[in-house]
Amino acid sequence: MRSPQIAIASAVLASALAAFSSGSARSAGDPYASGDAAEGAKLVQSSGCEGCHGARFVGGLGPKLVGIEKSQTADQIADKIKNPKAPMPNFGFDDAQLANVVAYLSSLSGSSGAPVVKVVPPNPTSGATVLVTFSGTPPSDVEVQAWMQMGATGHGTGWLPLQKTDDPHTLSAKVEFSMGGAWTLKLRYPSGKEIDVPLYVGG
Amino acid sequence: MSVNVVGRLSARAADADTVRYTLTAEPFAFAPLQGTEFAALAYNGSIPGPVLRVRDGQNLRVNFVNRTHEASTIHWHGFVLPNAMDGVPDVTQPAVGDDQTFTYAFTPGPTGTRWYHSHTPLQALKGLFGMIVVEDPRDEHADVDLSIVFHDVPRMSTIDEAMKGVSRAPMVDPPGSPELLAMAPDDKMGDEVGYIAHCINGASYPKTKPIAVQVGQKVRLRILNANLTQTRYVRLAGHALRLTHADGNLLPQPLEVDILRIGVAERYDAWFEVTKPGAWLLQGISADPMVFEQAVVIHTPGLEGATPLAARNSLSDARVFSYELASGLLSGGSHLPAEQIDVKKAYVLGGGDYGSDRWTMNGKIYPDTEKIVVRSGNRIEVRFTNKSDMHHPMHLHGHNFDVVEIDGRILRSPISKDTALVNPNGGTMTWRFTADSPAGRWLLHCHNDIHMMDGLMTEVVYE
Repeated sequence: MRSPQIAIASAVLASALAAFSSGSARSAGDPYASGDAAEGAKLVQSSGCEGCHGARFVGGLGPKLVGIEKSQTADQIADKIKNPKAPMPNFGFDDAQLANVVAYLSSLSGSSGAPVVKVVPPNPTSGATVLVTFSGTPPSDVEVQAWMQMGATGHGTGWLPLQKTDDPHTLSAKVEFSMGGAWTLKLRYPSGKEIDVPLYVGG
Repeated sequence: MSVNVVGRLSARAADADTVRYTLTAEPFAFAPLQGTEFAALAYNGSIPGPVLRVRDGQNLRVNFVNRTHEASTIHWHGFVLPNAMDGVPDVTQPAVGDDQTFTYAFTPGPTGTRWYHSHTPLQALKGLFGMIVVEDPRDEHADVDLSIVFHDVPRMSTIDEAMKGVSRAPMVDPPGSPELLAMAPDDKMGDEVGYIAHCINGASYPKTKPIAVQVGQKVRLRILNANLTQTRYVRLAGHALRLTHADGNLLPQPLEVDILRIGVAERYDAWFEVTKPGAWLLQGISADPMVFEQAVVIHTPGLEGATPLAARNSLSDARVFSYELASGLLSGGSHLPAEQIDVKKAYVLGGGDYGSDRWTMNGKIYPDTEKIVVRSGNRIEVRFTNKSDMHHPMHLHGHNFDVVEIDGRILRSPISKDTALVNPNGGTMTWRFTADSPAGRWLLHCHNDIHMMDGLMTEVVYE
């Protein structure tokens, strides 16, 4: 949900923000501005970024990354990954991978328009509440499933309907994580479109 | 003195017939990374304990001082030695009490990278472990010889849950790993332990002490997985690893891999050459984002503070170590080589259902598991069939065995080990060895501490 302050800040930074919102106009020659956030999510998970940047990227040894797109351009974010400052290692991403990582990191705070998924408590040991906040009116009949890939098959909760909450932009569902590990929260729209959000459930 | 470097023995020690050490075990406040504290135990104030080294043929004399406030022993893992020196409380010796001392004296062998640890439940996982190297004069020359110990710090509250089979701690094996592929869709683990830190040589990245090497050097990494439950995948960014030894014993031939799969209690000797300046991470690979901190920088002069190159936490597009690969991948035929076998024993490994506190051998738990009774000189064959859904790092005290069969495939070249991972879901493994060790009771058990404490243990007994 956007507060007036953020709306004003958005207006001020409109041209910069437009450069890295997915699908928006961007300045020519900005090779990192149109990556695939879903692909970026996989790269981020397999690189262990949360190990230093904190669960859900709220910061730890390394700085907070949620909302990084508000203060840095795609180019600047990519540069910090391409030319990291020790002790951050260099993962050797190519330009396409960098764009994908930038897109994913830029989507964490929801300013790109994708729904923001939050899990409460943040490090669930079993049951948790999944909160999905949409930037506009939430679509009806959106479903969520917690899924863990295991080799060629997987293990999931089945599709659960999202319920309304007190916040008109936010829907919720209760999810039971039967074990810890690398889960994926899948959101499915009535149109069939699916969004995957990686979630690591600690122990 | 850097704990990593396995240097030459001092001239005095090299000339002596007996190398002496004192190992004092006592409580230790361990802080593997910022903001974490762990009430640990340590030998001589360090985790891992000091690297001990002797030359082939020298005697070892270790004065063990126990100040842990509980019973303790030292087990010498991978050695063929007098049974009374094997360090198993109430089996090979009375436990050493608090404030008591005990002298371990034996001639260490076979040669190679081995280790020592407490055999009192829970003490090893609290920090009482270290590497011991028996130098083999026939080894190829290494410019740098390093001890690399992977060890994870457990969240102690999850151990009790894990032993009861109701833990929710995560599986952290990398996607695509044999461990994860073995899980069925409706599986709940229940016996995994949660960890608060993942370390190499006593610290987590970036606190791990960087290792300096020089261009042109041939580097030997002696790698030990001193973890309590988890197999670890090890890779060195920008380099392949050439493996020469497994559990201290020569592999049939050197083997080059990108990723070393190392089970609990296993050791591998991995070599690489420094061909250009740089800084690279030697890291543990896992699906757990925190395992990213299980990394140490290896760098050339002047680049200690430089950004190190990191490898992806992924097994895809990489050559991963396996016993089959080490054996040459070609089949050794359809039957085990014919020979006189005096004692054959088959065990079905099972148990470990969610909510269960039992891991079984032929349906029983220790001390009621069926023992293998042998006579000195006997030729023994042991076959495991693992019906559980987890790999088990099976370890035999006092002997090194040949792995001759895996999952129905006869190995072309047997692999000599003291600890070997048996595959789940019907996986099989056959060992052959000779009962030519000193007489006594020799434990045979899964080295996953939870499984061992829940009963997956038996003995080879010399009658």
